[in-house]
Amino acid sequence: MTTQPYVSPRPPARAPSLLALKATAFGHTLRRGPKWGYAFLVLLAVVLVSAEVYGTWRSLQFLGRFGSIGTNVFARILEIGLITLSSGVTFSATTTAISTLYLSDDLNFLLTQPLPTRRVFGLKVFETFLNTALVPLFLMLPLLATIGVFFHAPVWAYPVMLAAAILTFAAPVGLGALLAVGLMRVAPVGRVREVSTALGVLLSAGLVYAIRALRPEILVQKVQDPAQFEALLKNFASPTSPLLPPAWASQGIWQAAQGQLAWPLLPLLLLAGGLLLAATALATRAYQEGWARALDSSTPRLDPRPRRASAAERFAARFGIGGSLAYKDLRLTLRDPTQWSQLLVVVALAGVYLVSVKSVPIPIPQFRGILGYVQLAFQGFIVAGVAVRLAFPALSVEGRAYWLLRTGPITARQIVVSKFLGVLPVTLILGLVMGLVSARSMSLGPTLFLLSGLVSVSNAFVITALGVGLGAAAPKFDADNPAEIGVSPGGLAFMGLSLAYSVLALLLLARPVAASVLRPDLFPGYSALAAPEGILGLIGLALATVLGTLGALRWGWVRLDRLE
Amino acid sequence: MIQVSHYTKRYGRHEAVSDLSFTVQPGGVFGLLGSNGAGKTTTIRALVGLTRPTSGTVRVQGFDVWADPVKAKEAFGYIPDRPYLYGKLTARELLRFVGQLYRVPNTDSEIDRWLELFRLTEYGNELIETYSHGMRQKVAIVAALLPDPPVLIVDEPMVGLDPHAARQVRELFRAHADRGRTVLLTTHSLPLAEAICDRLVVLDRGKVLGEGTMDDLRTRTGTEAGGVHGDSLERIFFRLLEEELAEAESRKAEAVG
Repeated sequence: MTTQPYVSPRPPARAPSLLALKATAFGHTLRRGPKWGYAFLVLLAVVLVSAEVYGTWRSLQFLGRFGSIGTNVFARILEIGLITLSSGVTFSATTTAISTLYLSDDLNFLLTQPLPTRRVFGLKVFETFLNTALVPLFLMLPLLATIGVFFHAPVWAYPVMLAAAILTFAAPVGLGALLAVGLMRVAPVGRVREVSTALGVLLSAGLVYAIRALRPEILVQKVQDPAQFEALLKNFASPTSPLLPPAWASQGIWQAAQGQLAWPLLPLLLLAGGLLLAATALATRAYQEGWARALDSSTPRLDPRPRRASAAERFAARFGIGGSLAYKDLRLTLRDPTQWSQLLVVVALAGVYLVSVKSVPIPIPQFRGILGYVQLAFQGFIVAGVAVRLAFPALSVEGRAYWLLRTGPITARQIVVSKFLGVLPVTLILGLVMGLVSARSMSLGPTLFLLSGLVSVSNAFVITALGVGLGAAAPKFDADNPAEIGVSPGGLAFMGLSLAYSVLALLLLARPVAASVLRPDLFPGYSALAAPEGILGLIGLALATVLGTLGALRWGWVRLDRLE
Repeated sequence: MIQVSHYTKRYGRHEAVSDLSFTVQPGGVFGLLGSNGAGKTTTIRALVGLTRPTSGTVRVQGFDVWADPVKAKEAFGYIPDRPYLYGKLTARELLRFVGQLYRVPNTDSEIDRWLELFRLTEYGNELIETYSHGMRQKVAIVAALLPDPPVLIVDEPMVGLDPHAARQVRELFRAHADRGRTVLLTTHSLPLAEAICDRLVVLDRGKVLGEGTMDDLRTRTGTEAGGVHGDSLERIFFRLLEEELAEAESRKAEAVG
């Protein structure tokens, strides 16, 4: 028998595009997705964009009356907005980069193909950008377009503003990717994912805390004092945080809108490009190795002695199948760094929020009361931000092992309710702590204190149910990594609905709150709640809570039951 | 007992399974045979509650899987072709969870016994994500057998198993049926089907080509003379496919004529 020598195949004239491959897969997903979901999402987007454009335009008109000083105030608000959004991206960039760069299922295929590692790495960094920065970028676009139109910006200014916004978010993503590659390379074998994720969360929290140290609330304090307002406006002409990249982006955007190309865009470009290049250079040497280390991370320690159920497991099992399922979920969450890191994010978010609320000094009691009540809507949004990471993916994280439940003697209702009860303690404690601690720190009266608690409970129940329900209605069992699950049409719809519910809950009790805050002489203590409007408001909140919770859960389990 | 009655499954205009009916009595191993895309897995998925029939009914132990799902699911154990399990649980934890789900008495001692049988005792406390494909398949088999179900439904059981485990599994299925329980399995491994199945249904592109015991099928296809021992089912299988092809061509010719 003769053997032919192996001849390496000639490389194709043009290497296949990984992005085109992903885009094709995404196109198939879109075509197969629920059309009603897209319609709802488009409607939601139209409402949000309209409100943003309208609000921006009116603000610019109002501040424009004060001349250039007034519009400079808007420039600083833009800067603060960019700092806030980019700190949010910074917060999640490292953990998302770890899960996207190292834990995605398609890496088994991509990294075993005759492709340069840097191309796979580039694709995954792009996916990290989409997973962390797409929503903030979409939030910025209508704002930038409105600013451009308001100042009659030249045509070239629009792509420059867009590029500035992209670079603002690309920098933390590049940093996250760089940290992820470094951490995965140096973390001890056996605990690569766990150690890297924990360090990633700590680093991100440190970065965000550093940004928080800028204390934008000082500005709020000055705005409330008319004597300081004029001086503040003058001071506002210069950037508040000249060393932060989002401030460079803000200046670049602002000056582009005025028809000038600003020099701070250059350091921004260099920073974002430098970080991405550094990450790519490091990845070329260490990416594949880090990925292999992540695969090797669990070293078996063979032990024939049987490990029996713990007391906690036996206790959970007493509650029947639902209890066993909830305990199984808890166990999986605590063992999976991509899931438990979300709990750290919860704690960090609550901490940052409470520090911010405590730092806002508001001397006028009525204003304090109203602001104390309105901020509950923001808390609802934070609870939604937590629920989109914990409640919405609760079904999807079953992954391909879902067949075990689906073919087992357990109903879709039991599954959905168990998931709901598993996440509720987290959102309920978070909501109550934020609601009551912020009410206490703002020295709100007894009625507002009680209502803060009730609205927090209502938000926690309904938002968690919406998350679990919507997540069960359209689960994504084949997500390449858990970070993808929330960034989906269903996840965005969930965020929109949660915000809408937070506002609804406030509106239901707005009248007794107004009575209690504005006329404390007529409505002392809890008396505003005993008035007809108070009673109706409480009944309304109770009904909205019960119907919202049960309706969302029921919708979830009915749809889950129909799933094939 | 399993009863499939006029089961049809359509995906849009494509008919994956067409008017399929068969009954599997207790005490027997029943094989669903066919090439890729024949409709075996689609049928199995309907039986275990993963795919809703477009028409017809599927019943396990007398319970309609889609009308009375919990009772039906209490009655069967299912072994899928791909053993996706919770990677962050150990085998013992996963099997305890299954035991709680099916309310299995003496779960711990049963788990010990099964792990020992499949030589997994040492790995019992390890996360499943560290297991090889074959080890995961063994855990999936134990999970299905742990509740000692009256009906066992198995989709391509031997994928990834080493020869020792494959023989063990064949014997387990046989023993399960011999204890008066029902076993339904799909396979395209003809030697396996011939070795353990009492009755067979041969499917092709969603339609039944033949049904019965090995002897029934031999009689029908005129292959009684057999061939080499062990490959006679293969001859039957291809004869059935040829018959179907010839019939389809004659239908086409009649339509043209």
